[in-house]
Amino acid sequence: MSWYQLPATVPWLTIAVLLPLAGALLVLLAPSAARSAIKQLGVLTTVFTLVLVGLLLGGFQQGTAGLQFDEHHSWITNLGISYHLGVDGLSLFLLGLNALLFLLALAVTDPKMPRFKEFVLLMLVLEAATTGVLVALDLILFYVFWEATLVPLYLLIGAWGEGRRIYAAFKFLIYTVLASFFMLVAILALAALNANQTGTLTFDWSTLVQHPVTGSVDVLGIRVGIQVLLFLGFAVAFAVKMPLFPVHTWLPAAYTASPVPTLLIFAGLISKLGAYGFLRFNLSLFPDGTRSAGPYLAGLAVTGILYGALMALVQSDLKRLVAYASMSHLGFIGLGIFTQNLLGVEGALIQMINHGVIIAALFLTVAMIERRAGTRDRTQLRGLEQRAPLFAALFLVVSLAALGLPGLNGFVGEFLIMLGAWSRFLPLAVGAGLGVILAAWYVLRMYQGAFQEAPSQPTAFAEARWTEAGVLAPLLALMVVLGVSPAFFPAAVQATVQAVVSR
Amino acid sequence: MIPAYAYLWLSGILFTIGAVGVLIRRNPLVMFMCIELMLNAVNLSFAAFSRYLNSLDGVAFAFLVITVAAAEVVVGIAIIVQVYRAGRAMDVDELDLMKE
Amino acid sequence: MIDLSAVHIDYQTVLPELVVTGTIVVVLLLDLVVPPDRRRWLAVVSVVGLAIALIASIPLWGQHRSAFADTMAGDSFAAFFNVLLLAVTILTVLISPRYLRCVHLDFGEYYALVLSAAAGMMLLAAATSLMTIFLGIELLSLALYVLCSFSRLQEHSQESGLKYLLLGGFATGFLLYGMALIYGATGSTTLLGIRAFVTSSPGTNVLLLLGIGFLSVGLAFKASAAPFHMWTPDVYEGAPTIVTTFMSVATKAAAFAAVGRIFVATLPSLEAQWYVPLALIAVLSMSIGNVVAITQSNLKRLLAYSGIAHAGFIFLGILPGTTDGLAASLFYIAAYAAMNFGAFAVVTALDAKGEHADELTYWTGLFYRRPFLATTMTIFMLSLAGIPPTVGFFAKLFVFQALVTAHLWIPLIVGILTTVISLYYYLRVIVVMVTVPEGAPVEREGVGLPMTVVVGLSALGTTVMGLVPQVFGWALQATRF
Repeated sequence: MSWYQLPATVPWLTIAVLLPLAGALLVLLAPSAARSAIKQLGVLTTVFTLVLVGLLLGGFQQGTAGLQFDEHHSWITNLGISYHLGVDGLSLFLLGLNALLFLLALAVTDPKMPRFKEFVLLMLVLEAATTGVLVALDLILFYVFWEATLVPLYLLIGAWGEGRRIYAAFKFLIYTVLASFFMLVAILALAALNANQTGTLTFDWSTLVQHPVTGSVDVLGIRVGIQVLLFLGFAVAFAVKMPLFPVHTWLPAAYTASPVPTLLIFAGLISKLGAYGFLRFNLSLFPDGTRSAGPYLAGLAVTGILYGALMALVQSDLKRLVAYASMSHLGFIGLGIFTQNLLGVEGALIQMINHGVIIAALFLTVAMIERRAGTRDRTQLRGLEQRAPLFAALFLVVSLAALGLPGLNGFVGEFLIMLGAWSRFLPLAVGAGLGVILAAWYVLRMYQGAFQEAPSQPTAFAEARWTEAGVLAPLLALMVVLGVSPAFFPAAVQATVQAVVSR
Repeated sequence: MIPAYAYLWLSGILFTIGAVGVLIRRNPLVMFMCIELMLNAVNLSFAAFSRYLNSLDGVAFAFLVITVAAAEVVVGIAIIVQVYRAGRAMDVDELDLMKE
Repeated sequence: MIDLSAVHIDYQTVLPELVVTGTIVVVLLLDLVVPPDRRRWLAVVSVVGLAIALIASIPLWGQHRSAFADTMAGDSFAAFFNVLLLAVTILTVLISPRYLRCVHLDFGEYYALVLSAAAGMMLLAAATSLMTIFLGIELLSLALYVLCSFSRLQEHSQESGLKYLLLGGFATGFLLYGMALIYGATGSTTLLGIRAFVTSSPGTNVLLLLGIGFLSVGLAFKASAAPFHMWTPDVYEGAPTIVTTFMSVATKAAAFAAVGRIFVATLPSLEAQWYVPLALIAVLSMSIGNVVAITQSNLKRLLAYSGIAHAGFIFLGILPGTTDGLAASLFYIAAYAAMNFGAFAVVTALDAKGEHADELTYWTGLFYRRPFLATTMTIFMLSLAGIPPTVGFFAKLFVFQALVTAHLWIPLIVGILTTVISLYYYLRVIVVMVTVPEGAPVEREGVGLPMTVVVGLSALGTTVMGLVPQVFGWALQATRF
């Protein structure tokens, strides 16, 4: 079932990847001084991309597990590398989140910033790369897009960031590139093993999924399944990107140093790419490996939930607080993925969208606070509610969604994940529940401290402007809509998730 | 008649003397002469093989080597003289402007 | 025995080399009449000659010619290398006039020497006899000895030339001795004859193996592969930067053409014997190059060690002894040519002002002073580090794939580990460029149109070459001897 039928002859996904690049090309040709024109170009490009992705969302055939808008062309035939794009339930809504967040990020970019043109250019290149990550179905093609996201991100943090930006950017880059090499080795080994098994060398995901590798090898005297080894190779790359405890140490530095528009993408989207990678590759290609190694990763995810929550409790810098809160919430997604059952994985998918929406909104509001008050130190902010009631209300909705209040979107995903975890890892579910309680603590304390307590001396704090409310509006609307009627979501993804978990 | 392997042994010994000379002598001019010695040892080998195999290829090769060696001498001496004129000592151990 | 009356002179096979040689003569003669302030016309004439040679190389594609009593080949392999070498030479000549003027080295002989080196390299790529291989190597080496010490007043340059000369002559001695032994063992100086001998008498032939060993030493020296790499950092650092740019790319490519013809096309049946020494060369080059590069603070030295490491990666593709593996190496050479030439060209652009632009400290904050050069340098560094979607990634991917197919695990593991190590120093260059400089030395003067075009072209090649599947197809076809 779908709302309407899109013509199958149009290469929709290629267009979705190329559209931001075309925008980037136009920006490149524009003179640096034409700041407002560049901004309009950037925003328009992302609007077009969002419209296109919206079209795809509507034209998506619900209730089927297979790939849609499939594009398959030979590329480097001698080595079995092909150009294969496609969308299924795993990537559909992430594509929407991707397009939305880039639109918001470019909308809040200040045209008066130094080297504005280059900034917009890099953001658009980044959008092309992230879109590519979500739709690529050839392992080499995926790897190319995956690594291609790093360079724009690195430069965006390194050249436009704040504080210890170079250190942060370098640390992020080293972590992710090192981890990616494990994945590259696993990809090559997987293709070689598959070629031994079937006789043809291919990197195509949809072919590899049909022939799971078997067998085991001796590693230092211990017999290990090949699936487990390959699983770990991929898992390292995705765990770092997500990030899972204990490979998260690049995150606080990188988030704190990022400029706000980049931060929206970074926290809202890039972390989801790691989770998406787990679903697309680890769970699909190595079901047995996931069954063996998954529980340990679920344990790490819960550790991350608690660690992130506790660290968030002791932060006074709001940006760092949200960064750790984000890490805590990402732990829920990890837990959901490794339950390997329908409820957990579906919850993780929903929570991926929710987390993207909530974290983007949180970082946006923190940036607004910082711009007004000149500080983002929690202990210095007092009684903002009286001065800016509308702003306070917006912030309250975002905060409540973040702590998982029923009726807002944060609740649905966490609830499903807990249900899924309950049936597979009971102790871990209890730990995650503790994380929910801690989340309520640090979120409410942040809100109360900054907005409600009476100020010792009056400070100037402006009310939210219409443009700011306009930027937050789509996120808030999504929070409410996803919270009140989450049902349309499973309809589109259930078949795919079912196919993944039943492998 | 002197057997072929005798020439090869002589050529090998000359080549070794030349190679060792390049490694232990420190005067660029002497090192350069040692290189020439190596090349001439090779020429001896070529000539011996040519005779032994009854093929002219080796002799032709030897002529080629002689010609190229002459060209190398021209270039080499020019560079060595240039360094000498710059007032640098004739000892390669002191050519160390570019040590890290 | 060579029967001279039977030697048919096949002009089409050597037409590219002939055109380049002719251009040398024309340039030398013109130099006598062109006034000193018009020397850039010599560059124009050189580029025209090189371009004609490039066009003349294309008809060789797909042919299997053999000329001058099997001493020269006119085939796809030669055409591939001719195009690559000529393209590199053209780009070099294009950016030369401005650089030479800036460092007061604007002499007409420069162009003749660069053309001679190019002719030698092309000869080497087309050579199918020990004699022509030797001639090619010497022709390119002699020209490069002079080019390295071209800056007569610079002690660094003198020292560079002398070192290259002494060590190069030393290596030539080994190369020749190896050739003599091979000739003695097989009775032939042509690769065809050697191949016929090797396939007809498979037993272990000590004289032949010894000869191949000595020959490999000489070739590894020219390709600056470890453990015969000692000269590389000093020579690269001391030589005028434009010369380093040229030789770092072109010499390596030409040397590997010879390696490919000798090991993969002539001696595949001895793979079991030469696998271990060549694997050692590859492993040592990657390890030494990548590890020592970390400690370098001079960009030319850093790139020299990086070049040693890349020589190791190119050797990896030779190891399986198959034409498919060689194709991966060929692709790697083309990729290396684009990215390394670009990186050195950026150094040349900055060096033109006679400052110590090759010291890494000079590069602090380059992103804010010269955004174009810094951005392209970023692309080159990422490509050298092997990060997609640049061509450097695909080059490594194809080589690794060849190793996986041949089940050569140890070189593969070393290759991947050293790639990871190499990230550190390549990325450090990028980090230095985005670091905000203390004070604000604003200098936004241009680098000239030719430099912009050449660096831009290299950057474009580095970005696009991997994504265009045809390039790898060409590499595959070039190895169908």
